[in-house]
Amino acid sequence: MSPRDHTETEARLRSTLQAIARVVPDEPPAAAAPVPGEPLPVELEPARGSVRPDPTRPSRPAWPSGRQVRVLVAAGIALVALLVGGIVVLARDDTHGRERVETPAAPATHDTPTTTIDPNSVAVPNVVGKSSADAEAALTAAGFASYVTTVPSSQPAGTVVAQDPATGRAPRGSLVTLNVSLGS
Amino acid sequence: VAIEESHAPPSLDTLYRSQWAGLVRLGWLMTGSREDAEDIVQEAFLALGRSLPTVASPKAYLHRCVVNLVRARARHQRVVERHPPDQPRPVLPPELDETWRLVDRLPARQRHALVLRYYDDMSIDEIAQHLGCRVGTVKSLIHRGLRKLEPSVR
Repeated sequence: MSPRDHTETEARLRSTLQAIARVVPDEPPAAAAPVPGEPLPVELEPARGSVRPDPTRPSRPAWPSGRQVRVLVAAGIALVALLVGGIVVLARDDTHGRERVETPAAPATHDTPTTTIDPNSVAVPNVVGKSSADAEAALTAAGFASYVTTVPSSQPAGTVVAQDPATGRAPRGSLVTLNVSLGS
Repeated sequence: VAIEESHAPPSLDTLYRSQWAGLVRLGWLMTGSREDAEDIVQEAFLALGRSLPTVASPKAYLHRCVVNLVRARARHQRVVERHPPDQPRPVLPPELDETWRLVDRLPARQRHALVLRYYDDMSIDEIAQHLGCRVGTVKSLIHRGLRKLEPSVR
């Protein structure tokens, strides 16, 4: 294959990609609505969202990277340390006397990290059904920024019909999107 | 309220208007499906909406989101699913249409590398970062991809 062929192919590929790109109009279809209207809360259930990998982070290949290996090794060392610690505690209990044999020497320390809650996250208040002013006030009070989009709905105008995130916890200061009814 | 004043980030609305088209174009070229591209872009904006106050560069965040979502989708799709027979095709001049057909048949990773290189004008290094592979791999993906688009190989 000559280098000339290559440049031609590159040029042809460029124009093809640009020609396809031109088919997409410059303006988004639904004017000014970053979030589609009605079916929003269904699509954004926290359960589904949490399963999805964080899109901001580059996804990793299937095999473990160097960093993953290091994390695994560290976790393994921590586990071994816990086990050894547990055995030492058990052995000490034995030396203290037979009457304490029945007390299980299960150290509770090893469960606590899983139950700690991120101190920077805040419970998201449910404001569906409130007026948009009340909803924004409630979200501000809870430490969130709010973003209002209007949607057609059978609810009275000015009522919040959906919010995202709807439940659970979110980082303090993050944005809660409110869908407010335009009235029917 | 205090957060918005201190950072003065571009609003989600402004970003949506200004970035939507470019992101859909990139997503379409990478996935081969305009519908998938629009879904992906919507998802990227939702992700941005959740963390807008903490994002330093929303445009870069959106771009990265789209590339990552495209790659995530490609990994979970069989080749057959990637080429649904009844996709509406844009009308192109014949030789461009032929190239687009060939692009559609490329393996996902070759396609991604070619689009980032020849549409997005990324450097080889940037592509390697975005695709999570080595520079040498990117070069080989681009080289093999281009060869499949050569007229002589058709």
